[in-house]
Amino acid sequence: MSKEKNSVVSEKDKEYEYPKGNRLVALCGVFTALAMILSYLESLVPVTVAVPGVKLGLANLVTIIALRKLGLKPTIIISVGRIVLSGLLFSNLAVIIYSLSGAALSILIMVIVSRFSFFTVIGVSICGAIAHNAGQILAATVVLENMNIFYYMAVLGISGAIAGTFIGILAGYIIKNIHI
Amino acid sequence: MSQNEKIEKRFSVGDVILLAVILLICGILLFVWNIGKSDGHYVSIMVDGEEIKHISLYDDETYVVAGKSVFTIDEYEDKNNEDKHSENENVTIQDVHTEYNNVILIKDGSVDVTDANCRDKICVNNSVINSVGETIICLPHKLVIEIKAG
Repeated sequence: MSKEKNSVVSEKDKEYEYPKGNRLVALCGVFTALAMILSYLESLVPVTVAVPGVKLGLANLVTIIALRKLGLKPTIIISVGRIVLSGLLFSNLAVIIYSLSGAALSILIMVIVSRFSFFTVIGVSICGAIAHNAGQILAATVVLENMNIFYYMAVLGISGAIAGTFIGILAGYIIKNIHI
Repeated sequence: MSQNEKIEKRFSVGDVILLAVILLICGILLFVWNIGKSDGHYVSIMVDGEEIKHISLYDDETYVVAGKSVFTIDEYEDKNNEDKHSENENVTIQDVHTEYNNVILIKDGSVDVTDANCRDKICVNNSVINSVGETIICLPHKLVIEIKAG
């Protein structure tokens, strides 16, 4: 009874079944394409802030929805696919490394957090956004061997919290209204 | 199911607490780090690709760039006078006496080039710079003045 509130796995409790087989494969493709389009759209909007990495994180929307609707494994496939494909198409290897590191930490944190029933999708989204930033900063400190980048984390934390809130609200509506 | 949808739609108490805690922590961190770094930004003066001097952005002072040396305005005048009186053959003093290149004014956290002995005066006409990453460049003297984060 107490579990059936609002975790990612809770849809299972309500006898929600993740899609399987061909349907799942097709959905993964659709989600990956959607995530790529969204991150491309986002790159068209210039954000002029002193700190790099401040962004809305529209691609995270897809990750959250996939986590809820498709399950963990497809979500990982979608994220990795999106990052590698758009990295190869639009940017370079360094960006792929940063993004992968951010996405890995983000998904990990979101899966953990979504098991707590006191967060809604919004809380999960905020945690995911901040974890994504933190993952990228970690990768950057390892690559650049420069601890000063951690200074960015405070700004990124604030921007991540705000962006995560918006994405979370959006994701809440979409998860509720879209039936896969 | 209906209960679930209700919760799905709006913030839970946990969300609000999470948001508040994160904003608070980040705000405090930002505040503390900014205080610690208030005199961290510095002005980097580069001539011909070599960094010749770091100057704090927050000490109000006028500097004179002559060749590859940087003097405060007082030092510059002292050396000039010294040079007139004694026939000192020190190279830098000789340089100073013969020419200055650019005069840089640092005041209230902003940097301006107030005078230069070149013809075009592009650096003099350049607007005042005050944030990290901004530059004033003087091509004839191969001089680059940049504000860098400390």
